[in-house]
Amino acid sequence: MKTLKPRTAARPTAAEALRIAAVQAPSLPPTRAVLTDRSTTLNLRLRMSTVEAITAEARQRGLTQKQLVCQALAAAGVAITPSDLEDRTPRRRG
Amino acid sequence: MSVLTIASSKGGPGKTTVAMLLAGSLAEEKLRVVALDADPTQAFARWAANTYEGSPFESHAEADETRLAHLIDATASNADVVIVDTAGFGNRAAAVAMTSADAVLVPALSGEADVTEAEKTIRLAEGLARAARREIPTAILLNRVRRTQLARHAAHEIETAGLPRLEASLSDLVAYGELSYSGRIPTIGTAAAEIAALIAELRARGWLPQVTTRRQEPVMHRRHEAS
Repeated sequence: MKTLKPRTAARPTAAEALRIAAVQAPSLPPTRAVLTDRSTTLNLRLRMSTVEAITAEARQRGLTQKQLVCQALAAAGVAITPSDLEDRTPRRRG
Repeated sequence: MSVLTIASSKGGPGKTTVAMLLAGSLAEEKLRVVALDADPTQAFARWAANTYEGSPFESHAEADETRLAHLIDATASNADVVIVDTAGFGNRAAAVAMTSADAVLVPALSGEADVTEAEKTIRLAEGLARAARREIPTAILLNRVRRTQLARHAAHEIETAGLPRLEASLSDLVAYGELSYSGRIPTIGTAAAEIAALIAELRARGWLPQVTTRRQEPVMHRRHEAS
C-alpha cells in the first residue's frame, strides 16, 4: 500500500524551499543583483540651528558639509567609503 | 511569527508601496517587523534605511535566492512578522520567497495585464504550495482603485477566474505616492482608513499576528547589500 506524506503546516527549511522552487519553476531566471556600490541619498530632518552649526563649521574647516559629517562618522568608527570623504564639488576650469 | 510575501510577476502594481505601508504600520503597533527586499532595485530597503521616519524595523536587501532563503529562515524565528518584497517579474528569489511564505499577497491594478499576471503568480504559488505539501494562502489586493466601471470589471474578472481577492483595496491616492519621499505612513484620512482595513482583513485571515502590548526593543536599520 502506498504511503503518502501528510500535509504539514511547517515552513520548509532554506534548502527545501530552494529545492522546491527549482523543481516547480525551473525556467525562472535568477534575480540579477546590483553589484556596484552606487551613490544614493540620505535625507536628514534636523533643526535649523544644527544645520547652521554644520554649515559654519564646514566653512571654517574648508570642507563640504558632507565631508564634515562623513569625517566625524569615520572618526566615530563608522565604515565610511573613502570616496565619500573627498570633496567632489564640480568646479569650473581655468 | 508570520512570513508574508508580496509578489506579482508584473512590474508596477504597487508591491513596494504595500510593503512600505505594512512594515511601517505594523512597526507602529510595536510588532517586531523584519523587511526583506528581494528586488534588485532595492527601493524598499533604501526607503527603510534612508527615508522612513516611523517606529524602527529591521531591513535587509537580498536578491540572491540562496541567501534570501537562509535569511528568511534566520529572521522568521525572531520576528513577529517578516515582509518580503519581490521583483516585478518571474524570478527564482520570488519563487523561494513564496515557498517559504505563510501567505502571499498579490497587488494588482485594474488593467488586463495586471489581472493576467496576478493569476499567473497565484497559480505559481499554488504549485509551490502543493510541492511543499503545505497551505500557502494567496489573495489579490486591488491597488490604485478608482470607483469606475474598469475597477468593477477587474474585480469581476478576478472572481470569474476563481482567484482569491481581499475585500480591502487601496485607492488611487496621492498619500501613497508621497510615502516614498516623506517616509511617513499616512495616519489620517482615507489612506489611513484603507491601511487599517487592509491590516484588519489580513489579521482576520490569520496572515498577521495580533497586536501585543509589549514594547519592541529599538532595532537599528540594517542593510545587507546583495553581492
